[in-house]
Amino acid sequence: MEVAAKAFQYIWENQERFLTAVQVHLTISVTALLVSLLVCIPLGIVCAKSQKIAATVMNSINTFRVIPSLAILVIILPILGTGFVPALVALILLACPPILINTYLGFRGIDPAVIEAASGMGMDERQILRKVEFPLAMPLVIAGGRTAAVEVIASATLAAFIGGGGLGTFIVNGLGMYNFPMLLVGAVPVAILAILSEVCFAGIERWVTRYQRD
Amino acid sequence: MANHSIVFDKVTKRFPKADKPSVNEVSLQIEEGSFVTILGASGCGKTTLLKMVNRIYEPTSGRIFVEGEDVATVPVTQLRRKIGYVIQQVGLFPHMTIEENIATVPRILGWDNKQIDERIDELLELVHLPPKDFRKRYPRQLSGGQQQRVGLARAMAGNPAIMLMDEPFGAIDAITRASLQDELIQIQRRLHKTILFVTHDIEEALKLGDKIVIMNNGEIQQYDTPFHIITQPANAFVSRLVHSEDVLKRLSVMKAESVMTEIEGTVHPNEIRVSKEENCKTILMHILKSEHDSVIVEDGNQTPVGRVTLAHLKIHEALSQSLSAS
Ligand SMILES: Nc1ncnc2c1ncn2[C@@H]1O[C@H](COP(=O)(O)OP(=O)(O)OP(=O)(O)O)[C@@H](O)[C@H]1O
Ligand SMILES: [Mg+2]
Repeated sequence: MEVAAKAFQYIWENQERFLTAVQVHLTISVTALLVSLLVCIPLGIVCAKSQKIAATVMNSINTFRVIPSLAILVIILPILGTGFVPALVALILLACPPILINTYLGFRGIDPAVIEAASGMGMDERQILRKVEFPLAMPLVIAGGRTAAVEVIASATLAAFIGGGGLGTFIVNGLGMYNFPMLLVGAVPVAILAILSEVCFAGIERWVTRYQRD
Repeated sequence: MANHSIVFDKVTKRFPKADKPSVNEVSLQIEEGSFVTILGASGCGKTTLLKMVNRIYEPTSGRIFVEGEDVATVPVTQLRRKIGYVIQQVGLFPHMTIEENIATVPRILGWDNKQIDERIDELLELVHLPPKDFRKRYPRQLSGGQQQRVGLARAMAGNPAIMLMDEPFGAIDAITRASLQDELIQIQRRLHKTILFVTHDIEEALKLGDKIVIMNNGEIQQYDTPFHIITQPANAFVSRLVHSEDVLKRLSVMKAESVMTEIEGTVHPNEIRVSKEENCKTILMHILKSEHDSVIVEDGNQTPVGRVTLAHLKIHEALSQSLSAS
């Protein structure tokens, strides 16, 4: 209890610092997620339509995936230096695989008969994409986003190691100074953010799969 | 060519890497408003032939005309919007309600909402699915047969003059299938659509078709009325396919009209009455059950126009048998 009280006290006394950290954490996570979505959804669709591209992209993704997030941060360091941007790049790299793979699977999984019916009725490619393929692939795409979001929020903590700022700063400092309350100041809000993102995505997922329920 | 809805002119389709063409030099003229069934064993090219009409496949050589226009010169989407297409796997959009499914083509065509709304009700009534119950449901909440009906309604939504149907009743039990067939026949009578209907079920082909295309190895073996196919098969293949020794099957493709004679003598008040379109198999059943050896044939206005007797049926049956034997 004492630890929690001390943590609150720390936040009370360093309100501005705490809020900035939360803000940086959110900014870096949301930006990384948005960029990954914008890049990987179109790329995933292209892969789903072309087996050749798919083979290359999926293979490299799967190789890349085995590298742990901390290692990615460390590898980025000598290339891009320290600060917000290198941390952002690392997080984008982390968020891409689940989104890309799920988008690919989502579009590949559509019953070809449905597509044939759509084009047989005279829908052009854009109409098919917008009205048929997107809505049908959406549940999997969202699931990919959900995985990516949690991974990004958690890994953004590590960004502090390369000077990216955010809530991880408290954790790094707390660990360094054997200051347990300060460690909590970083860790608990990160956990809460991760849970919030889960809840948010679960809601979206329910909404895009409403046709699958009675 | 004015009253030919679809014309195939020496159409050949050879898929890349295939050693022989799937459809070989097919020439065929489909009259406007006729119901034509395409019959043949699996892999003989029925689907391929059908899919060239709405350009899902492009012919390797030859030309296809729809309503007088070479399909190769019409933009694909425009062509397809005026041809109803029912695929074997139904292919309803699982994320759309039944009404949204049916509204697809009318929306593309830019109809206004009120018009679309009325059209949905009209079509659901036509395929015997009460709109109140079914409009808001999703496809997975429907049985297979109900889904097929929606598929049919969806294909007819834009009011196309031509319908292409690829084994639309393939995966359905015999009873539901028979009733869907009856519905389709009635729809066709009422709306005079030109229908190309693929099936590998002989009974279905005979029952539905005004004319039947019999295919084998990508080539047409015979294109004729059910009656002629049964009584005068063009070659050994056709004759084997329809194995003409079945009396009831032969009777089932003869219409009352083609067998009846003038009414001589008085019409008994309890002599059973049938329509001109009735098939002779049903007539035989009526006669077997009734106290008379004959039935009275009526036209559309319930005016008696002829009579079919048991003796007539015997003569026609014997005749067609000897024709098919020769
Ligand atoms: N896309 C394709 N690529 C290569 N060959 C094909 C393709 N589609 C069909 N074929 C071949 O063309 C031939 C005719 O096929 P088609 O689908 O027209 O047969 P079908 O008469 O419809 O048979 P079924 O009753 O089984 O549906 C078959 O030998 C088939 O293997
Ligand atoms: Mg087929």
